[in-house]
Amino acid sequence: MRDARSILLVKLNIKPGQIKKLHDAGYKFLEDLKEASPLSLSKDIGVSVQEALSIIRQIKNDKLPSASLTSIIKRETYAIPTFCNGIDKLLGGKGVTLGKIVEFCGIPGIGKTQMGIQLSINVQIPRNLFGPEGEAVYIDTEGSFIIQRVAEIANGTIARLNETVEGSPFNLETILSRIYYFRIHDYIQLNALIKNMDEFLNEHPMVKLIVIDSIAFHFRTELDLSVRTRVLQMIAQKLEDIAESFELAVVLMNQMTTKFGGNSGPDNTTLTPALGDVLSEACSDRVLLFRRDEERFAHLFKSATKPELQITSVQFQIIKDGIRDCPLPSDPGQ
Amino acid sequence: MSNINQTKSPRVPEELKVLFGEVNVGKYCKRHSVTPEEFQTIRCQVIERNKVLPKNGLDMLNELKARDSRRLSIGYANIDELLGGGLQPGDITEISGESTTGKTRLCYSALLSITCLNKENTALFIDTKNGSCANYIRTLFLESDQFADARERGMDVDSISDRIHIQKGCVYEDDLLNVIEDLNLQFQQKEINNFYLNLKLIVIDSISSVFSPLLGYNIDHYPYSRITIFIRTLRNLAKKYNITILITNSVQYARPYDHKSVFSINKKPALGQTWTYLTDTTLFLSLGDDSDQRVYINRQGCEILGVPRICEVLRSRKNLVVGRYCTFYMGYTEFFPEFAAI
Repeated sequence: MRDARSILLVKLNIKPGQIKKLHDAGYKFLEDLKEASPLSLSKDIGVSVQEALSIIRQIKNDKLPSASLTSIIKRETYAIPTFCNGIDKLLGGKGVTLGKIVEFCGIPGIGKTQMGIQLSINVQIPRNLFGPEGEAVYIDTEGSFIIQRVAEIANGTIARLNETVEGSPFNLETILSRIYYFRIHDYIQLNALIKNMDEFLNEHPMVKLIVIDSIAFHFRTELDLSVRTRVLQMIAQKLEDIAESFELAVVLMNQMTTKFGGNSGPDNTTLTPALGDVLSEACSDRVLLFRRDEERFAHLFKSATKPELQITSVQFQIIKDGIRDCPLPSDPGQ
Repeated sequence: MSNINQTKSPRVPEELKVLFGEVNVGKYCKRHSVTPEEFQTIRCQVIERNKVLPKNGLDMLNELKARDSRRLSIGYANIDELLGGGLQPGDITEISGESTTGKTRLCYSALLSITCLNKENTALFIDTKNGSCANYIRTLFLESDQFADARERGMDVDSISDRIHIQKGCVYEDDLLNVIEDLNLQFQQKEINNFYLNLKLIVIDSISSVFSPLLGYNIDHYPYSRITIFIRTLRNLAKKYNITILITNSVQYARPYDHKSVFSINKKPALGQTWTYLTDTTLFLSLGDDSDQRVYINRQGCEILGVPRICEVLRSRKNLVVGRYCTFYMGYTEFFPEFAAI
């Protein structure tokens, strides 16, 4: 029977030069490295202690367990309600599920930021009211986060919660103090922030929602296309990682762009979400917000949970208190 | 024979010496207390054991036919036909396409149809994007016509749910490689867990989200070697234990192939040229005309609205017809061909 010893070092993600050094120093299998300390390793192969530490960290990875479908279904999941039943249904019944990446896209003024603000308030709804009882991180790239508006929506939310339960512990101060706001001025800052998000989340374990409004803003100018794709992929990968390991929801706001060609004919144009297919791969649900005859609609065009596909468009409205259902639902048609 | 077994480690170098005659026969005999005659028999036995036997063409053809009969259905007959009868155990099949073309959906279908075959088969779904939905897989089994026969045969949803495992948290390539290495170790345990013993299918959804952030603007060969090492490990596992591998991949945009229009875009599977050598078969899914929607009524009487999708064989190392395609409609729980729509 073979054991861990049989795993060759070549399979580790170490630079080829270092693998050769390890080989020369007599480390050939994973097992050999398990007993090494960073200090002795750095002496043996002549690298800095930091590098030696990163090599050792790699092999001490905990085993990732797989889970059967049954146990996953039994696991309790929380979701952040949007206060619009229609949109909640599109997103799988209860709203934005924790652990997933969801994208909202739409033209300017359709209510993406309003949605972001509403979600970062609703994530704080306590457990006894079926909310996740968490905190929110709001990453603002466009400067559209207006604090007066946040207070307005927060007051609307408190009023709505007070209808259902008497004397909820919610007040404006606690709501506002649980939203952590980051203002980002270029894509390097954005990348750096997301790369270091782990640290922040460890200090603030209650964070259950990260809103990025908007992901597209800094990527639409000046960047070479292949660099853009790569940076976006890196960001998407990191977001997937933190969404899973901290069990939090990530909500991305995206702008729209004009696409030439596509399925409607080679020289026709269509309005599609910006940034191409890269982001789309990472998001488990994508919702397009659009306007028709002065009414606002939400349309689901990618979904992991797949509600009945027949109802992919629902109407919603934005009032002073935030996002709400329409009082008289009308058939959006297709 | 027994003498060889008694010689403890390092056994392989000893064997090599015996085989190639590098050993001092006298010393060897003294050390292991065997006579020179016995030594000759040991040498013959070692040679016998290391000999590779030739196969003749007829045997190979029969073997191939036997393998063909073991093909596993992906869950939709028209795509099985493109694949020459289904997924081949031991092979790596890639499904690529843009988002929302139905890659993950096709994987779910394969998961269920393979676990439905009998009461033992198990499958592992490695989710690198945390996008899988356990409830949806369950709904598919309970409502789709694809599994109506299995339901009638008395296949139980709880038994199926127990036999499908989902591996989450494999966001980086180290994690992914660790999972495969761990599988390897599990197979070498003396008492193999039933789940591993009956493992028939591994799905990786998706490979591009793990590896494409590594691929740089400047051509650096290092990431490609990582992919190659990963796939080689996976392939060894698949061949050794006869496991079917299904991998999804996203697309990248290539230069326009139609020079009449600047805007026409040629799509191809992501991860570059190296990747094309690593899989056995590549299926490419693309969107059809979105306005062409059809309705299908399934056996439970539900109306299913389907959108068109095209599946094409893009590459094949086996004898599949490259360029062959089929059109189908994809709805909430169903795949259906055009003639089945109302």
